[in-house]
Amino acid sequence: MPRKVGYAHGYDDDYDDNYDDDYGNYDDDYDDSEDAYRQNHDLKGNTSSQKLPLARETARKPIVWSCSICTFDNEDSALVCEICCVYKESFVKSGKEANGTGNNIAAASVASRTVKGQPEKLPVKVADKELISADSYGKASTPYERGKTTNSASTAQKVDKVVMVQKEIRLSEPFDTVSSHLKKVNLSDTSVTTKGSSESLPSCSRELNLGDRPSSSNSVSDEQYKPDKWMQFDEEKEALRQLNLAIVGHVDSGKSTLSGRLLHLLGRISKRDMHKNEKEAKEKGKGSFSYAWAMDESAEERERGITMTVAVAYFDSNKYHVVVLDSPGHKDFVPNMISGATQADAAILVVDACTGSFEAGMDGQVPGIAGVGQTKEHAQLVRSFGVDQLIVAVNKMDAVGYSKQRYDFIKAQLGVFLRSCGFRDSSVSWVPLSAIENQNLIEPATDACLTSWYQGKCLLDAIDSLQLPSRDISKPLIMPICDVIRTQSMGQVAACGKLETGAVKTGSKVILMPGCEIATVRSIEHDMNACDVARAGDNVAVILQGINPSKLIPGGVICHPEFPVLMASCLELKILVLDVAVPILIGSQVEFHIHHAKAAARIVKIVSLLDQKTGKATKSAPRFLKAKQSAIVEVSLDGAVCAQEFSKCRALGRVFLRASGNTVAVGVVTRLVDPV
Amino acid sequence: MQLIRKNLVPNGPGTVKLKPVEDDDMWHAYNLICTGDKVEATTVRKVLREMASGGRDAERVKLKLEVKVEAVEYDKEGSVLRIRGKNLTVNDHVKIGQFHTLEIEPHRPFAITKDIWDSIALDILHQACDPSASADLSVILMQEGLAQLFLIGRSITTARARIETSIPRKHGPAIAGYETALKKFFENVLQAWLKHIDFSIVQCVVIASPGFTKDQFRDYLFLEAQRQDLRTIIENKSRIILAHATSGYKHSLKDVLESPNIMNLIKDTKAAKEVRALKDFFTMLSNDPSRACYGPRHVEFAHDRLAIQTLLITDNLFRNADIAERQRYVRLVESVKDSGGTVHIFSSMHASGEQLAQLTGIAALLRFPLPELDDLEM
Repeated sequence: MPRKVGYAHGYDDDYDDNYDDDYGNYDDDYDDSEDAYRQNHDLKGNTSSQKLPLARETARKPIVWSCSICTFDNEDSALVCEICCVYKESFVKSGKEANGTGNNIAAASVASRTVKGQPEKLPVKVADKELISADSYGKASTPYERGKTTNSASTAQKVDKVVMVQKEIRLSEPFDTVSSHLKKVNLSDTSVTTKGSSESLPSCSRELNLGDRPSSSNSVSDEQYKPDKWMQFDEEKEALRQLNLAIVGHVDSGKSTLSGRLLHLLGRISKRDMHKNEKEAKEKGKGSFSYAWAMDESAEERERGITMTVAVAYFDSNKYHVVVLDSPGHKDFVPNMISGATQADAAILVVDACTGSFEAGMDGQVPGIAGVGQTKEHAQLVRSFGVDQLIVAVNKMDAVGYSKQRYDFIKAQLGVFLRSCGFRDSSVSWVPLSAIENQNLIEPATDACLTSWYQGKCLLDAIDSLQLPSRDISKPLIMPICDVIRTQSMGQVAACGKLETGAVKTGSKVILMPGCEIATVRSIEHDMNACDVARAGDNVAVILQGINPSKLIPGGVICHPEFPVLMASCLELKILVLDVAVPILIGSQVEFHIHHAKAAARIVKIVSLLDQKTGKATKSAPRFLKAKQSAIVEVSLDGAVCAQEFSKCRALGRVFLRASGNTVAVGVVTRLVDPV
Repeated sequence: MQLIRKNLVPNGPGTVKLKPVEDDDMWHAYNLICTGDKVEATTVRKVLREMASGGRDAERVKLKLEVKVEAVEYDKEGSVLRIRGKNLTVNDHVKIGQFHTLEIEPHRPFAITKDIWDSIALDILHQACDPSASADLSVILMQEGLAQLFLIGRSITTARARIETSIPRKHGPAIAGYETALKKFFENVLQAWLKHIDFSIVQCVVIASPGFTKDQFRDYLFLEAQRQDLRTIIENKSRIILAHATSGYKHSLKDVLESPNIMNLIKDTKAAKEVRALKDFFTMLSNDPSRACYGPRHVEFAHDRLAIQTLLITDNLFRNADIAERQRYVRLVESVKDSGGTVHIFSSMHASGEQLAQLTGIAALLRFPLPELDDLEM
């Protein structure tokens, strides 16, 4: 089992203090990716055919040894296996290695320096120049590494750490947050502070993760995949890129009204429709729902005045094509929210500022009984969707007279919780607004009470300031199907969803899992407009032909014909247990959610308990799992689902376990026990 | 079950003659009959005869045979019990020692001879012949796109129908697709309802779902009943109850049975007691984890210290083919009872029993905390 470079701790190891270590890895990717891509492209034209000597490539591989028991690729310097604590074979056999540990550490640091040599294997070529600068950067950073980490953590993680420091400095964060010797690294190494080279590094280290992926039982390894030319981004043509934005929050906090209002202000709802909604809402005696009705279209939802399934809408901001995923807030519809909003890149958490409503959102609806409100549950879920940028929209400020006191109170209370979820303060922005009175939505506020103390961004600016996450276009196509639309008259069938990796164009052949059916893409639609190509990150409807429509179901995955994803009904997961009253036992029955699929499942084995900080196994086969513990467990599902190890594909590797109406655990897939 | 004849010594040998009446009785018989017992029943066997001319002639003969049991099969959907074993009766058609499979049918008496009638077997016998405490309840568990129809008897829960359709989510103009898909889904559920629910047997019908699916379905049901003039539904409107469930999967059945208004309906039945006992176990586990344990190893560890207050055990542990294993569990149950503890034997055909079976089939609430349990591996 090859090690997952850079993710040795898993993304969900901990939701508190040390989240920086874990989530930090993401941030680097997200922040710098776009620029990095551009750069790659600027240089790409003449470098795509360039190949570095093979000898160099092999020399640069990190030195690892594979555990005899669990086959995990451990670092050379580690004497025992990280997973199962078995001694290194050669160490046991001869004892020669006993004095070799010092060498190993040295070797590891060499590996950390050379580890960036990998990209030449990859389809997107990195220019030589960049490679050198990356190398020099790596060298420059080693004194820091040697000084700070004597015990060798994962090498790539070290690199990432340094990268993170670098980024913080670049973003002109307060210098006191950066410890002094880190500053020294930066100052001593002036060559890397130039923007170009500092950005090339994250892209390198990210691609290292891709390149280092293990070749699985899948006969064709993903590494052999070469993207075609048409898949790459066309800079000039595509000014705006897609951002999937989930709108989440407690029931009745005004999510749909906020989205409806945004769409209306940005001219996406015609006057006629708006007028119709207003009239109908008034007739039903629900005047305040007129904007929400732009999103809630079904009779049932309008009748009850709540959203039940995720609504999808589109608008354009100054920077992005925004795909709004308006999710339901009601407790019973959290499963719908999970299956509809997993594709989000960023999220708006809507909070009701009214007295009592905010508290209900935090601590559950029934006063006196400790519970988890959907503000909390959604925030945790959204974090485990992999979203790390959050806009907190403090709504209904008009109801509390735009009071600064109330706003500060909410910010303090919720801020603590968000931090414990793993959101970084710097990636959470706070916007006080009133959807109903149109304050601070697309233009700065006009109300004197609000402007007297708030001069920050309005919501639309906050959306524009979000960063796009990295898009893996260089990997084979994977598109989880979120929804299926059938057009009776034409006999057409369309699959909606977000492309997680790769790209697809009209006429491409794709394979549909489960079922292994080959289909042809007839056309692609985005917001009712036909387009030729869709790339990773795009939320589109793909109209397929040559397929039995009944085989197309939400929860399936559309893949590249040569690289179908695997199916499994028994999975090994690394989970973090959330605040649950009833402990998780062997045999506990849960509802299992993965991308857009769900199934009934039960825990068949609790393999080991993991330490929160180090991610090492502390206890094998414990009796049960309590709140806040993390562990390796095995689950068996009542039907196979498409899944993939988290290290291979993040979108197909995140799971959510729910029981008796609450989310009990979030986690990632570490192994498919019975891949089909 | 009707007890026709009983001739036995407790903890000794004996014979019992029984007549199954309901579906539940097959389940009891299944639990009662172990490998090694002798069962006598009327059966039909196809006999081949060679004619003088050399041709062959098959004939079905009705016989009364006694077999020594080697395997027992129970089909929960059809409530059929088949007993396979070697013939012990002398007759013209089947040789002694030849294999034969008996099928136990409703209203046909059969006799069981055991070498040892232990306390568990006597308990089952007693329960099976107790005519009171019958709760026939039907539950329709649904969520958007998935519905399951269950019949809950005294000691078994049977899944009668499962309807699964994919319902598209709202998407602008495709909203009509959502409404029609939902209507089609309800129509299928209604068909299953008409096929499986007989109000002369079922006391009441519970419609359970998360969200508003249950209300939507009820409205649809009454509307359709009016339209199609379905008398059974219109006349029994008062016996249709709504309840909240957290999902449409089978394990949510537990939530439905736990809810107070349903609990009242099934109060005295075995199902209700099991649901309560399991709930107590989980409450204890969350409040004071060192006073609850599960898994054979942990339970025995606690039993050695006489710590067991309440023992929860599923009946399929007694159905073990290994006689020694069964004896071990029987002894455990008896000694817990002797030391003043209570024992709940869960029917593995109920949702709660199924859940316990997943939790290794055995669990216990303890008199005093045993923190050492944490150090013991599962």
